[in-house]
Amino acid sequence: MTTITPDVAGPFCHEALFYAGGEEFLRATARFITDGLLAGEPTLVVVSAAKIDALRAGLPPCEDTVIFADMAEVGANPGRIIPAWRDFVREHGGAGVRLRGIGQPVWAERGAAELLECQRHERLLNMALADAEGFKLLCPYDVTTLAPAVLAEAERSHPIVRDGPTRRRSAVYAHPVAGSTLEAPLSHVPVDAREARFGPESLGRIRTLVGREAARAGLLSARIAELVLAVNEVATNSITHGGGSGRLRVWRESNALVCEVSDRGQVGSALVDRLRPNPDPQDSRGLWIVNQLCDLVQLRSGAIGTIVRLHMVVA
Amino acid sequence: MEGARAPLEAVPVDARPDRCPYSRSFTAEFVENPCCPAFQATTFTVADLRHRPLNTTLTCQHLTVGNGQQNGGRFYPRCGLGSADDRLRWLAGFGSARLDVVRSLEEEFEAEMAERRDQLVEARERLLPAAAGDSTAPADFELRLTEFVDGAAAFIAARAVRFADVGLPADQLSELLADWASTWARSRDGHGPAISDLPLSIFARESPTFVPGGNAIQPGPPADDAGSAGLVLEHTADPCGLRLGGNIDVSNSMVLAAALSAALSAAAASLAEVTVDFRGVLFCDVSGLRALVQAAAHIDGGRRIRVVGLPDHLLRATRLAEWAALPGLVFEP
Repeated sequence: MTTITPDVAGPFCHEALFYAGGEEFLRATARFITDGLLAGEPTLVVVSAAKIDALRAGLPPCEDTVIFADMAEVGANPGRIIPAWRDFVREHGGAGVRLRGIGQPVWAERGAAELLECQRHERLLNMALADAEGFKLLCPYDVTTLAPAVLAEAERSHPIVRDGPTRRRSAVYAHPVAGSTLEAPLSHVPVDAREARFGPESLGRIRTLVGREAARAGLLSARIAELVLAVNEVATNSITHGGGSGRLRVWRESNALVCEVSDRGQVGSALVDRLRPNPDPQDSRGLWIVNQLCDLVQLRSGAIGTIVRLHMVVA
Repeated sequence: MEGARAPLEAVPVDARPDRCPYSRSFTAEFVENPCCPAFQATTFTVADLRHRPLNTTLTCQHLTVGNGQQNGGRFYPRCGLGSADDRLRWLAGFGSARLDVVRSLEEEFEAEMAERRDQLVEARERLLPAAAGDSTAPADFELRLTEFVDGAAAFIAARAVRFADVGLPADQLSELLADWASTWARSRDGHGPAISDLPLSIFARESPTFVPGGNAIQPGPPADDAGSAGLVLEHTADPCGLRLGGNIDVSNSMVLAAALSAALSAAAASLAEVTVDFRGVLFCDVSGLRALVQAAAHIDGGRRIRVVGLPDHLLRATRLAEWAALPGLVFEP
């Protein structure tokens, strides 16, 4: 094990914090925030509302430098966390400015699909914030409630791990290379899923199918309209970029309705659904909008094709 | 003046615009994939001359009987909503997603309440003179009626949020259904109570006044399926602009873009605003919104496009796409 001294400046630093229980969480994160306060570094803390309250109670008044945000709002869909960090870096960063962040996307109660996307998110951060110089991001993991496999994955997605008093380089960190995060496995599709193949002439038919299944799942009309719009955008991508046709499958999964669109195309960038659209109206923003409308988006792509799963939580 | 009345008989029955064009023995398959955009399934119990139920069939709650007198004594299956265009207009006003919710609630009501309704219909039959002498019949009937009304109330209460979503407050609906059921129970009406028996007017809000005129362009054949009905667009003089209907997606958004640019160049340069009326639109995708945004981006200084009746989810999508702040684009309910 190599113990290293804290970075003085330099590249984006993505650290996992392994802690045991609430007290240890508060001690470690409060110190991280206080160090930033003393150095005058703008800090964004995105954790649960309960943890925000506990942190505020223990910290000196710091509202000028430290921004708190509820992870349940920012990151219920983990695909929306990267834009939040990039916004923070753009608004508060700059040449020579150092920034801090604490982000806890992974907690024990996350559903299986959500957890999978949180883990993808953690890997993508290394790519999405690679140019965020001087930004130090700490991701707390509770070793008392999370499964060993979840902690092992955190070692692979974080170059540096703080474990109790030690701070070390992860021996198993894997820097994401183009496409690598697009190949994570997905759960099996149930055999009774509704299925429809579509082409340029049948977008209307799949909109009808999605609307009906969404109503049957108990979604309210506003969410039905949003889901129909989202599925239509992904299917439109299949028609324009994915070989001209595709397949839609729809099923219920624990607390959500899932719509999966698959085609023979290949997505170029793993960050395609989480980079803010540029102002040119021609610039595509279909997947960006889809990621904002849906409760969870799972994007997978490779040589054999692309799969996009859209989840809408059923109340 | 008597002589000025149009000879209604001149329109053959088959050509009447409000004639239901579908095969009326609606099947379960039709319910699953309704070709008609406005179809709303309801059950109808066929009774014999002594009001004894024979069998239950599926029908559409918009289906009525056409005026026999005006047809030289011939009846025809008439759609209460009107013509194919009227049906699409009705749907745009009501909202496709809300109709999906209504259809699902009706379906769930059938699945959960059909057995109790059949028992109620049967119990009422035993009250009829033909079955007189059965002393347990009245008590049994009251029991079945209570069971039905309680069951319906529980059904509605369990889905209160969804009923409210389509404009039906749960408590008022339960009351209405209970009243309706007891009125029905004491009548000789053939079919048993269903959610869809409630007056349609409480589901439907007023549809926009949108009449495709002679200069309407229909890029595709006017399909009757809500999902595949093409884009309908009409240039309007007052207010100056476009009135849209049907579905806008990648297959026709370039037609919308061309029409927008034509409307902008046709409008006098002194005119500050061009109005685009979305109230007849069933569906619009991001490429449709992009057509609006691109037109607004190219507009001359000071002029703007006024978008009327863009549904909430599309306003939200416009904001998410970071298109809502364009100076050349304003939105109105």
